[in-house]
Amino acid sequence: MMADGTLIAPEIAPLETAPKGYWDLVRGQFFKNRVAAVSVVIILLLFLVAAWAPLIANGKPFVWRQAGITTYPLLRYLVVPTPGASIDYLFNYVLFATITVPIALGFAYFLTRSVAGAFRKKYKRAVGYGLLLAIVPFLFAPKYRLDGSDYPRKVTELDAANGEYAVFPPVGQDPITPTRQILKGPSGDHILGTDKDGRDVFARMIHGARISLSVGFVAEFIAIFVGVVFGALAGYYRGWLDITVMRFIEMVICFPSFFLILTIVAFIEPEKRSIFHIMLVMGITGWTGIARMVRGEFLKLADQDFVQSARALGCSSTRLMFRHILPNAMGPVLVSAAFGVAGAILTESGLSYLGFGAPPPTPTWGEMISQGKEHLEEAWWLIVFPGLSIFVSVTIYNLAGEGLRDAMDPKMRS
Amino acid sequence: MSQSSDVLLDVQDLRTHFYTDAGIARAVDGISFDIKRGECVALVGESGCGKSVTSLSIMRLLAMPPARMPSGKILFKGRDLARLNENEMCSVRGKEIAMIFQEPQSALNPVFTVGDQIAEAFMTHHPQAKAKEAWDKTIEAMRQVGIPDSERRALDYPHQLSGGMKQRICIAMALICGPELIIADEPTTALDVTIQAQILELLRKLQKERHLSLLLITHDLGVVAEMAERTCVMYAGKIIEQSPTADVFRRPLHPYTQGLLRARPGIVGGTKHRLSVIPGMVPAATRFEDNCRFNPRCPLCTQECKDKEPALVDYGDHHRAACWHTKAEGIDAWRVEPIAKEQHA
Repeated sequence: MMADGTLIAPEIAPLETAPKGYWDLVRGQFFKNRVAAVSVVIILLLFLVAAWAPLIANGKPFVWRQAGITTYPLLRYLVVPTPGASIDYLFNYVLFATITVPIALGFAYFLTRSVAGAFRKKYKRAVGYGLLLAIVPFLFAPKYRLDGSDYPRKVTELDAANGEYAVFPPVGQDPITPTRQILKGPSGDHILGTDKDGRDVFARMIHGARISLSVGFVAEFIAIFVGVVFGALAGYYRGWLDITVMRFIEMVICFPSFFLILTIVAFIEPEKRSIFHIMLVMGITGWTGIARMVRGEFLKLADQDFVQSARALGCSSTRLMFRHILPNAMGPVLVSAAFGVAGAILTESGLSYLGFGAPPPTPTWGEMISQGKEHLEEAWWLIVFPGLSIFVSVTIYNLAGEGLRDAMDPKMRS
Repeated sequence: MSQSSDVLLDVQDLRTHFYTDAGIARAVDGISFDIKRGECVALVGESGCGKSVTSLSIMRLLAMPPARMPSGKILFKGRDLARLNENEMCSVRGKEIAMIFQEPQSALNPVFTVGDQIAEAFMTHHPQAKAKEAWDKTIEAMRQVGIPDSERRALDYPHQLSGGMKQRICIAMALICGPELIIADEPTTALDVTIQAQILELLRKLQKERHLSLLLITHDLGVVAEMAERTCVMYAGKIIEQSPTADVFRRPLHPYTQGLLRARPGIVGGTKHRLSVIPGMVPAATRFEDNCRFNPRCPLCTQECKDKEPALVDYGDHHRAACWHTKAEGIDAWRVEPIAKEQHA
């Protein structure tokens, strides 16, 4: 008994080293698997490369000083929307976020390092401020168009003796603008050679990562969203709704989805076609497996005691479905999403290869291979390197998915 | 019976039937009882007698179909819960009537911390409340159910706590919105004996402090003797005996109740006695007939029992039983010892 008469549970309180939550367990198990851990690191690296592509491979210099005037062409390139390259604009937000969020977090840590408990809250706020800061350059972006100067060629005009200089990114080649260096093999200037329009293959591959990676993610995100909603409704309400949804899913599964995507994309005029159409179509054809899985999980979980107990506390059906049951059903969904992303990357490459991908000058890996096949005999580098990147990214997604599946399997836990 | 304003919950002729492929299962078949404010009523019976279905029917937690309630009123503060729609029912559940379940292990959501779950129970009925307020209430509620170091324990996941602690969390969840009636469905069945005593004591203390009404559903007669002021004994979907608790133990009137009391393990007068059993089983709910449903197992069974259904008759002091052979002064239906029978055979 305590002083005020409250009964104290005399059971021994759990040890300080008590196991953490379910996801902590899964994380621990996941990183024990070296292959999966390396895969995730490579995925993150690929995403960083994709986000930072303009800073890694760009024909525009960071700083350009000529005739006493200093300009920053690359910065302008980042914030002025390039026509027809909406995905680039999106990724540039991410680019600024990857810079500003760590800085904001660092500040939050610096300011609150003595206040132990307050850190968690400040941490969230710092991310918010960082994201806000990332948007600012775009809000105040100059409205004029990009300059079309060919900086890699103009660089010879600079006179170092007059204090003129230029600072280029690591790969100082433009991925879009054609040059006269046609079909050159790998060399010092062009590490992985150039294509038939004289564009640097390495620069194009780095920028192509943006499309390939985002297609996988966005398409799978749409698929998860649609699949979870349908699966949850069918599994929770059962009865005629379940039957209707399941028959509908069986119909959708019967479509050969790749040809469906081809047909739909072919009907969109090439000028209007953008990568978002492809993502959307891939998303709305790829949700069936997830819906079935979510339905199964819901059928199983809806009968669990904790759902009944949440209902007895007055939770509405929507709240039960999405707050109480769904988090318990997300595990298998995430695993299948990892495999789904790999599949989506392949599908996108296939579409681009057939010429139905992102509209031309936008570089994508599939489109690069498609162009390279015409010069297969004289320029092997056009096919080998983009092909390798598709192979690597699909493989690591599959390995990561497998690792996640094993990590969530209690029987594999040692 | 005292003034009706004192009565918090009045269940009248409640019937819950399940329409299954095997036929109509009349799991609860016309039961009536009431609970006054601040009173603890126990519902006792074997597995499958309809205790849990009764509690779920009061909370309207059964899936309909297959369940249906062809008749009956569940008057809670004069409002008939059986007539409320789902939205109205949502605001009753948790806020006015709360429930504690049998297995605390599975009654908590494994992916959220216990503090989150208690806070959510509060937020469900106070959507305008600030998160800080909900959290303070949570910590306070955890302290009241006797969880030491509640600020830290609130951040634990259910699997990090012991069974007793989890049941305390469930009680905190049930109490946080200040309900007037708690339905405890076998709250101690899944716990160790020592923890059982603590949980019961906690429940009784909270009940007295807050003047709560408690509907205690159990098959443990020890728990009943400890907690309840009145007891209803259920058999095969019917209440067959209803009385102040002390009376049930002192003067059981129904042969089934007598059998139950004899079937308790225990040491009487320092000597072990042979544990007696009630022969047979509860019939399947699809095969209930309109007679005395205990007749196949009853030592006093006559043709009358097989033909007609006995009504609950008051034998004085609010002690009521439904049996054709019961007399006010009491009878011992099980006088013939099963041991003697065995020797005979």
